[in-house]
Amino acid sequence: MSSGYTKEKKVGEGTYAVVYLGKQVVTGRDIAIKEIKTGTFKDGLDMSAIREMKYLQELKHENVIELVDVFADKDKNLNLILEFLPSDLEMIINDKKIMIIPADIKSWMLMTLRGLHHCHRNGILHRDLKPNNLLISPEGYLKLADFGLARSLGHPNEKLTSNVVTRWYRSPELLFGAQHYSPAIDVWAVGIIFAELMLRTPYLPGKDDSDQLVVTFQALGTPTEEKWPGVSHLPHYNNLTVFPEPSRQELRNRFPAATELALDLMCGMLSLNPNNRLDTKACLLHPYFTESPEPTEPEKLPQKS
Amino acid sequence: MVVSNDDLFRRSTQFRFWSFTRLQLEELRVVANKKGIEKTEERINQLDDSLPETKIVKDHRDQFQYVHLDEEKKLVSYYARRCKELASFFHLSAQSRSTAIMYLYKFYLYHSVMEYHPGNIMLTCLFLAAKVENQFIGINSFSKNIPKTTPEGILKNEYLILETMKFSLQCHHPFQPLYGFFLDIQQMLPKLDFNRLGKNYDGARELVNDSLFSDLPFLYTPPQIALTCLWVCDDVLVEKYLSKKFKVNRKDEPDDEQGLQHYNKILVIIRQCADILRKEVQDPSQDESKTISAKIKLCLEPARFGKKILKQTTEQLKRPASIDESPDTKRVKVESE
Repeated sequence: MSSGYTKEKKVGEGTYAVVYLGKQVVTGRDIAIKEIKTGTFKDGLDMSAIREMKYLQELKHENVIELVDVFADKDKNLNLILEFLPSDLEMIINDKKIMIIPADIKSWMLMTLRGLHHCHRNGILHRDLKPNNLLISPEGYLKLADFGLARSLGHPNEKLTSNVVTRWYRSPELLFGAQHYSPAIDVWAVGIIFAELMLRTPYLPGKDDSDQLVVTFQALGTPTEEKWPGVSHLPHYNNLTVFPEPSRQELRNRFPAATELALDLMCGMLSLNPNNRLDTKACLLHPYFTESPEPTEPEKLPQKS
Repeated sequence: MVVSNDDLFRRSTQFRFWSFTRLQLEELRVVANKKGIEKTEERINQLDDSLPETKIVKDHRDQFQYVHLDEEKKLVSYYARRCKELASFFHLSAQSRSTAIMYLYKFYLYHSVMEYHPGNIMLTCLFLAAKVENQFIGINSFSKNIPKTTPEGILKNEYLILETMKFSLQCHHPFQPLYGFFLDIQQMLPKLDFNRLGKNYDGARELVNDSLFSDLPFLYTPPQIALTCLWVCDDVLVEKYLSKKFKVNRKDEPDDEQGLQHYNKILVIIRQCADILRKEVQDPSQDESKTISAKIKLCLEPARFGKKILKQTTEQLKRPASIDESPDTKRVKVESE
C-alpha cells in the first residue's frame, strides 16, 4: 500500500466502505483507514463517501473526527485516513460496569455541543447524531463522526428530505415529514442523548416510525397549533392522540439525578417547536455548564473496560 | 480563542487550496501548458517508425502546432459555457451548476487540454457536482440525454477529477452572500424603493453567473464578488449602503476613523474586481473552439499530423498532375495509402 500507511486488521464493513486499523509509517501513529469500495456502484463514487470526504475536509476541530489524509491506492480504491478512535459513547452507556457521574455527563455534553457548534457555524448539518457516532479517543476526547448523511445548509427555499437521523433521535419536525428544517434537528438529537446519558437507557425507543410519534409525544406532550403555529400543515400531522405536556414534577421523577439547570437545558433542547429550541450557542452558554460540579477533564473520564 | 467568520473562511479548502494571486494562477497555467506540450512530444517520439507518416511528423516538427496558453483558457471557457447549458437542461440548481464549472476550471490549472479534452472532462465534472450538491442524477439517464456518450466514458474520469481537486469538493459561491446583502441592505436602508433593490438583485445574480467565466473566483472571496456585482448594477445604492454600514459620509457627525478605512478598502477591492468582471469574462465562439479542438486532435494523435501533411503534399502534386500525369506522383500516392 502506497503513501506511507499500513493496514493491519479489518475492524468493520459497511455498505460503502471497509474499515481497517493501521499505522502512519513515519510517525507510528495509530489510524483508521476507511477504504471506499469503488467500482461496485454503477453510478460511480457513492454519495455517502462523497459527503464524508466533502465535509471532513472542511471541519478541523478538537471535537470532530480528523481526516488525516485521502489517497488512492494502486487499485484506484479511495482511502480515507481517519484518526484512530477506539470507543464510542454507546459502548460506554451500555457497559454496566462503568459508573457515570453527573460531571462526566457534563463533559461529554460540552464536547458534543462544541463539535456540533463548529459544524453549524460552517453551515453543515450532521443529520445522524446518536451515541455510536460520538467516538472517544484514547485520551478521553469525544468527537463527532460519520458524516455520510451530512449536508450543507442551503437556501431557505430548498427542499430537504425528512428521511434522516436514526429513529430514536429524530425530532418532531422530521417525524412530521417537514421538507424545510434547520440545525435544530441536530440539537434535538443531542437533547435525547443527554437524556440517555442520565437514564443509561434509550429515552424514546420507538418500535417503528408511527410508534416513534406516540412515544415522543407521550413523554413530551403533543404539539398543537397554539404552541407551534403551522404544525398541523406538516405532511404527517394527522390522527394524533393528544398527550398533555409533562409537568415539571413528572420530569423530575423521570430524571431524579438531574439538577434544575440540567432539566432546563434538556427541555430547551427538546422544545417540540424547532423555532423555540435552543441553538448550539445558547446551549453552550447555558448556566448548567457553569454550575457545580465542573465537567470532568477528558483524560479522567471513564473509558470502556 | 475567538474564531471569527474570516478565520472560518481561511480554514476552508477554498481558501487553502483554491485561492491564488494573479501571478500564481499564471504560473500554474504555464506549467500545465508545458506539461501538455511535453506529453505531446512524448507521443510523437513514441510513434511507430515503420509507418510513413512518422517520418513526416518528425521531419516537420517545427511546423507542429501546440495549443497556446490563451487558447487553453478559451477552450475551457467555451466548455464551461456548454456546461452551464447542460446544467439547465437537467434542471440543476445554481449551486450544482456553478460547482461543476469551478471543477472544470480547477482541473485545467493542473492539466492541459492537450492531455484531456475539456469536452469530456466537463461532462464528468457536471455529473460529480450534481452528486456533491445533493442533486444526484443516475449515470444511465445522464448519459442517455447527452448524445455520443457512454456511462463508462463519463465515469472513467471521475477519479482523476477527484484527485485533481485534492479531494476537496466544497465550493462556496457568491449566491448566498448576495442574498445576505439583499437582506442586509433592506435592514440598513429601510426607506429604499424595493423595486430598485429587486432590480439590482436580479441584475447582480446574472453578473454572479458571468463572474464564473473569469478568474474572479480564484482571486476574490464570494462576498467580495457578490458586492461587486451589486455595485456594477447600482453603484449609488451600494455606496450609500456601505457608508451607512461603516458610519461614514454623514452630514451630522464626523467620520468614524476605522469605519472610513474599511469603507475605502472595500471600495478599492470592488473597483479591482469590477474591472475584471467588465474586461475578462470569456465567451469564445464556436469557430474559435473548433480551431483549437482541431489542434488538440493532432496533439492527442500526432500520426494524424503526418497523414495531413502527406495528404497536402499529395494534393499539391496532384494538381499539376491532372494536366501532366507523371509516374512520380503516382508513386507518392501509393505510398500514402
